[in-house]
Amino acid sequence: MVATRRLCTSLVAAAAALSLAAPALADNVSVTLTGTGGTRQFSVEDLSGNPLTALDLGTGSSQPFKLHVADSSFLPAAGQSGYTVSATMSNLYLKKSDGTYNYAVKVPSSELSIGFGNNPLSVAGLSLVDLPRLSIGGTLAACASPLTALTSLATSLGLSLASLSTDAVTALTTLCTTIGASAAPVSAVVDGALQNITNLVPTSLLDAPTALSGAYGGSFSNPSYAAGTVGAGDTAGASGAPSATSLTLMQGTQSLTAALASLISGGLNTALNGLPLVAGSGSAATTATAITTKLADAGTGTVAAALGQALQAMNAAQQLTAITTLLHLSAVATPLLGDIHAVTGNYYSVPVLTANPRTPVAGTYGGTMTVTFVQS
Amino acid sequence: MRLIRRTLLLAALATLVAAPSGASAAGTGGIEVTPDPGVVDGHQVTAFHVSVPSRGNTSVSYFLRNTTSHVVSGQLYAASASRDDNGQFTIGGPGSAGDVDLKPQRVELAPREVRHSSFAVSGPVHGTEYRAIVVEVQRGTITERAATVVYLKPGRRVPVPVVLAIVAAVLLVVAAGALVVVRRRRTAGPS
Repeated sequence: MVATRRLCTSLVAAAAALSLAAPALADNVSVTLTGTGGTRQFSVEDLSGNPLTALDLGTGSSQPFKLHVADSSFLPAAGQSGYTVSATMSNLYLKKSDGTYNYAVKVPSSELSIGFGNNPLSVAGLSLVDLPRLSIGGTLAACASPLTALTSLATSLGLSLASLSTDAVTALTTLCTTIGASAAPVSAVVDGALQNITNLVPTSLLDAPTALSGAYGGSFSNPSYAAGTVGAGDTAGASGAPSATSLTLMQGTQSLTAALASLISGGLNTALNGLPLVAGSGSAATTATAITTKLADAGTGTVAAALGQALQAMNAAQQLTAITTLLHLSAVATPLLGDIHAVTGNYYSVPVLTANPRTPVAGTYGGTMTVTFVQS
Repeated sequence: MRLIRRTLLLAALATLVAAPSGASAAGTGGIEVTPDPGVVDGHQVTAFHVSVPSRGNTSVSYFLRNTTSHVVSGQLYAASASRDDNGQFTIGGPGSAGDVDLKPQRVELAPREVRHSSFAVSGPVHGTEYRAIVVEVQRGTITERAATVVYLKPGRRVPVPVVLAIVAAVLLVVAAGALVVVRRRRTAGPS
């Protein structure tokens, strides 16, 4: 018991001494993150792209309008990010001279329908930011013995042995031993620098970053009596009225089809063409840090891990020289959905609203169309 | 002296400019609703995913943002949402989601304004249920609505085996206590 007490007292005293002796070492690191604030905005427009405020069907003609979903640096999420646009319609009621409605005289919503012309869906201005995964490789020459071959190993990396630090020489010795008597190929897949791929033109709407479909339409069998609409004043909607008919006008589904992946690969190859693998300044396919970290994380005892550790023991300039001398970009991996970091683009649907010209009595009829965009 | 120097606050200003990263918000009329946090379990989310306790309520945060350089206004409300067999959602009107405490309100946002706010969801829910947070903009006889789906799931409950184990442990303690009392009485009795 006494021994335990002594131990506790000693520990407390030691902790107190440490807290007094240890200086408050603190470094303030200012960290800045630039967020692009991805957005997805939905709007109902006229064919010129102005906000739509009314549709005048005259004596029964059809009127087209435009639905517009604009993505700006939108960050897609796997299995999510889909959207649907649908419409409901109130009955059309006879307008009185004072601007109010005669709810006793109406054109039922079922007399109104939405159809589509040829090619009602379209996409434009597609671009995206992709994090490429790069396959890199190279071959290290045989290194039979550190005593005789270390200089030539350093030379094969574009370096002079004398310029290396003691730590780097030690790591290079380990690398030499690991390589052994036969040449050793080294390869890795590393993250590249983010690439902005512009002017994406998919051959099919289903190959857009958000696959477009859903131009279904139909007739508004049951009217909407929702609050805020003209139909809200109709007592027929007070209770027991069937749910308003909702017509699907546009659907977007997050996807990465093989054709889109191929399109992105082509864009990546164009963007990376001519770029150095790594660079001290300016643009490059990837960074020395990305490569050395990836190699060092390879399995223990492998040539890749030994090379990574040797690179980590070098200074920045030596790393760049060794990497550019030894390694080269062999391929860009097929893009995955998770590689896409931001998507910009415009998605359109052009429905056509049509009314049956039969009206109970002469006059102007009015109602409200509610267009709902659902982000799921 | 060296130690004193080291105790001085060092300001190492390393400015890290991270890669641009997008958020996932959606809206209409320049008003957007963004779930907060925007990343759940390491995955970016574009809708609300809420675990609702069987009793009481839970608070759900979101950002309301004006994406334009001019003043924007619209209605904000919670609404019922139902999903059909094809995965299509039907969104109700203002006041149709009684268990979501977000009263229908008119919002007006200054250019580029961002507001952080929250709403509460009351339990219980049974299985996956749906609600929506709706931004509504009236333009003449056209009503534009942008609805962000709220996925509701029952909160975690204590598993039945754990409950049984706790009950068994309590019974054992009570039984042991009773035994001790009986023994003491027997021991004290003859004297």
